[in-house]
Amino acid sequence: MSEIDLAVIKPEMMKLYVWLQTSDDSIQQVEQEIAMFCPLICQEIIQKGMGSSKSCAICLPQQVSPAMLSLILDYCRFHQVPGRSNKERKSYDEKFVRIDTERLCELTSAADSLQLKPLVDLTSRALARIIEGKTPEEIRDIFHLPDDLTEEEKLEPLRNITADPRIRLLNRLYAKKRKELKERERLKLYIVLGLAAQFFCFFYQSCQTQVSISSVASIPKMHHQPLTKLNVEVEEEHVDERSVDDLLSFINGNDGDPKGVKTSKNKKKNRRKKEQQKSSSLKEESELNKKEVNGHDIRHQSSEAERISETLYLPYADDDTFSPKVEFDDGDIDDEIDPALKEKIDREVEDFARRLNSDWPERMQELLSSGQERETILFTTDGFLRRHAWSNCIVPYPVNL
Amino acid sequence: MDVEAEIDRLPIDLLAHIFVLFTSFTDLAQASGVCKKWKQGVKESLARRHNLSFAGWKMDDDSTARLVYHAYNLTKLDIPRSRWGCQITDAGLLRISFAKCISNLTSISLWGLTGITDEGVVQLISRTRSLQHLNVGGTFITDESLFVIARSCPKLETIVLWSCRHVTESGLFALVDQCLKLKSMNVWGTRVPEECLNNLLICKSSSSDKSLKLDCMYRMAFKVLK
Repeated sequence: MSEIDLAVIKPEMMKLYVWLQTSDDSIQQVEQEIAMFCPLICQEIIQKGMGSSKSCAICLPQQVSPAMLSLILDYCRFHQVPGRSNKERKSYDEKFVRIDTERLCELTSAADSLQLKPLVDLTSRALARIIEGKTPEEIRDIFHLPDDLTEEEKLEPLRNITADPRIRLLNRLYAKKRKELKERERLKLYIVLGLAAQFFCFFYQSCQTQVSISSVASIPKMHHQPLTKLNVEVEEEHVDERSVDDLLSFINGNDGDPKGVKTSKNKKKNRRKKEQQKSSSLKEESELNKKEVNGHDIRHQSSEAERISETLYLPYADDDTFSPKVEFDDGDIDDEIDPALKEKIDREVEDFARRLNSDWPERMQELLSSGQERETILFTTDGFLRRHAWSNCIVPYPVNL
Repeated sequence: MDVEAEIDRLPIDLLAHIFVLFTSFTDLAQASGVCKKWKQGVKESLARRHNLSFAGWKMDDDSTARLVYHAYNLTKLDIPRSRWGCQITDAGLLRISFAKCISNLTSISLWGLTGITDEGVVQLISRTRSLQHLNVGGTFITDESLFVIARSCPKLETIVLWSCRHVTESGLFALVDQCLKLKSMNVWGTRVPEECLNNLLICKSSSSDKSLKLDCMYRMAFKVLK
């Protein structure tokens, strides 16, 4: 080639090449100008004089595979051209990162190892966009990540962002889960303690021939309750040494009077009296205020309490207030009412309710004028009386004053 | 599995770089619940932050303190009143004051935090050494806080006392007297009379390097009287 020909060849036509060795030991020849866009390669060329031949190729980091290198070089090739507008660069970058997440992660890693900051920023932003707005479960699914956080770490409240309704909901859920975990732990503890208590009881039984009720009750409540829950029988059969008279008096509830039969007759008499009182009281309005509560509500409450204490086995189930042992003499009044009498009573109740409803506006006027607290008896649809306190408020149902 | 969990190969510092790009604390919290490595990455991303703004977020004492604790390199802290109302109290400021970054903070904004008093502000400000910009507008601080600011912040350049109605001239005098680099002071909405501001100018004009201080004072007075 003559000097004239050499003079015609422009500097950009005389491309210099560098040799790069990727992670799979394959060696590629790349334009130096483009390769120098990566600070790591630039450093190797300038400081160590590497890459000039195939024998002394620049060894690229482990993260840079041939596929990733070609992607990175494409990026460098585009951005190295001087005359491009920002708009062009932006649109290229957007298209460039439209790849699947695995390749995007690989590209981020490769760009980072080559210290190519603009590309690291670009891919990181793309990854951030993928992650944003996702739950931990969704993120794990997308990136195939292991779930190595402990239950406690997972249920740690996300207190930083209580403004976000999703997180508030999540926190509530986490609180619930934490509670469940604690309950489970407590139940385990109860079972262990229950077994320990059972063992203790059997051991105690082997020492003494009789175990009194008080000895079982002396076991702390916390231990005793799970025993009842687990239906562990710990009491031995009692030998009662009391006389028949004492037992009769105990059954009748009288300390000294062992006349059990007489009391049962009295009960029947009381029932009849109460039936008569009930029917007559419905006829006479004036006596309504003096009438006592039927006992239905109380019985219902006690049975509810019994059921709750059985199922939930509350710590206060031993209290007198929740005791299921309370009996009511007049608990079964309605069972023995004659159907004809019952019909008559119901008719009278309906009639009375109708009368009340008809002059309701006038009564309301009276109520509003005299704004005092009064005890009133309200009628419900089942003709069944309840006592309420009137507290200066308008009630949208008939009230007898 | 190696090929699948490609993101797992990313070093923690690169994960942290990704998390720094998150604009939402919600996303940060969600990311920290993915795995242990990500949790660490979130902490590291907070440590990289130079600015931390809770504007528009419903923050309480606990969460704010925890985030500030992790942000070792913080230079700018912004805890303004959000639309959710004031959640930060003196207890929160006290906890924040023990964070490592406090001595390096150059800018603090506690704008509109009606739940804080002198007690919290004094605790926080007394531990700062590099503070240049302070915004305590809309709070109920008194001269007690201003005296501590004057003592603890020799590099203070700007202070916003907008609508701090319990501030008096004695507090302002202390600031002007001890914060020699003070350039601007916003006392709009305070109950400080105009004569007091003139007195501040006169007080400053008697100092040694008149020109600089006077220039500073005129700018300050202009901002105040505007």
